Amino acid sequence: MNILEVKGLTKVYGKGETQVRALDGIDLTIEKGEFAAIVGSSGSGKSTFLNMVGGLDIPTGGEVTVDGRKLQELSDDELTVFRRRKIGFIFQQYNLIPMLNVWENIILPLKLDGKRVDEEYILEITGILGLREKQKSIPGQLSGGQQQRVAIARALAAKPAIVLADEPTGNLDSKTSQDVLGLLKISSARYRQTILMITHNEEIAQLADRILRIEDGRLVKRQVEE
Amino acid sequence: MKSEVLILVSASVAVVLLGACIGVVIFFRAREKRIIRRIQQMLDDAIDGRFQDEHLDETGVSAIENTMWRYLCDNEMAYQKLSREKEQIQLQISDISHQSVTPISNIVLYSQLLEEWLVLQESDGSPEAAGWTAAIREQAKTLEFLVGSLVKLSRLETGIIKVNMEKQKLQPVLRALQQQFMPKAEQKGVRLTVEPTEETAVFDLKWTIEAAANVVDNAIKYTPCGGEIVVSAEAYSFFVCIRVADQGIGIPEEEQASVFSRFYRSPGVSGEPGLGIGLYLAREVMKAQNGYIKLASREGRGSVFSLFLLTEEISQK
Repeated sequence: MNILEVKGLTKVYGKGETQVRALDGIDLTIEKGEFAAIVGSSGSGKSTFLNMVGGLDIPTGGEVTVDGRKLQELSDDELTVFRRRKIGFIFQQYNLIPMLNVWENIILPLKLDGKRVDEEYILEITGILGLREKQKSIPGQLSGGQQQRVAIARALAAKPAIVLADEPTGNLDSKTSQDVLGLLKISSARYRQTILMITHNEEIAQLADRILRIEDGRLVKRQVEE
Repeated sequence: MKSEVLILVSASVAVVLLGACIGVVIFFRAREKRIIRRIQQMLDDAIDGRFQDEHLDETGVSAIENTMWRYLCDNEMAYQKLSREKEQIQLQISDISHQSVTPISNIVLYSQLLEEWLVLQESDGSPEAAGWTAAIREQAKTLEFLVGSLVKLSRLETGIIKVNMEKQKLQPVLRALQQQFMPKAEQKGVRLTVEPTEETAVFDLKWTIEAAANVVDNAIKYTPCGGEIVVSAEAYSFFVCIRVADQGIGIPEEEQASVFSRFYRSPGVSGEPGLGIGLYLAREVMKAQNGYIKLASREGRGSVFSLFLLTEEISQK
């Protein structure tokens, strides 16, 4: 089953002489349970790509289908709800709410959606991510690695169709990065969670089952598993 | 006067009607909400696979809930039937491969006996016969290895073998690797260095040795004479990593993800014996232990395989 289907995705900034093609016809499908990484240098278009897939930006051409819904067909309000339910985000800057504690941060997307909180599941996630003792702490009391683990727990809490990770270890040293992403990997394997991660770091990308390379707005090499 | 009474009566009737309407609306809204909540709960449970733990209270159930309940029940039944059948097939495969282990080891044994006998008869035997028996033994050994891998694989997939996780020292794994592969490495003229470690992790000793052995075996196979293989351990805060670094042929970038898939053979090494099971098995073993395996490689420079294991058990509640 394909969770993500991208067809002929293009994004053009500016007009005429100053026109920049940030994305130039990207085709990609990601299956359920897959952990895919997109690597590329800065300016290659990888962040633009992730923003399109996450419905944070509007493409110039082509289409993005997440879990069977075409993002272009949704209204702004529908898109907001869709994002909350179907897409989990992990950002470089963690984006935790500073005045909420760890537990509250994790269940926030569920609360916003008016959903019942599956405490057993959340407890399990916090166990895997080593956050059991930190549930009552506020983000300011946590290290970078811990904060990013909270962000991962938050992304997994709503059991989204796909988790999008944008340079998730950009602010962490290489050892902590390995730890944080290792935990992301084993928890996603455990719950068959689909993950699309973008990074410029080759070492980090090697954790993925499949690595795609983006250059000048195009996918240049594909590694297909099985 | 009469018209006033009429207005009063009709007004009060209107108020009563309105009240009734509002009441009805509130009642139905509440009911709808309740039904939706129950359906949501039902679906959530079904997704989590603990749907049949709870039973539907037949009283006060709407038709739609009833239909959904039946659908989900049927679904669950079909799923259970499917997984039972799958299990049975895998059991049979495992059985067949297990049955074939005995004849193969007998072939190995008898060819060895034949070889020894030929050595005793050397004076009048032909040197060709010795070559043939050696070939038989060699081939039978390869077959033995392949069937052995298949048996392990099918056992792992059927879940007959449960990994036995325990917090323990990593050194026995490294020591086992050293003992197992020193002769093979020496034979090939490859230097095998195993750096001792004090680290501990949560893992199954037997299966972890199996997984790491597959990686080291590959490393020796693809490292040319005079090369070096280093096995070491490194600690992170949540993981401990067993690292196997070789100076072999390396793996081209576009193949790096594929090497872990089942039956994958790199086109570049089709001359080497193998089934494409070793790394797949290693990955499955690591997954079963809540760990994972990672590869970094440069073509022509060598490969580094890293096996990550958790240092602490996942805390439950």
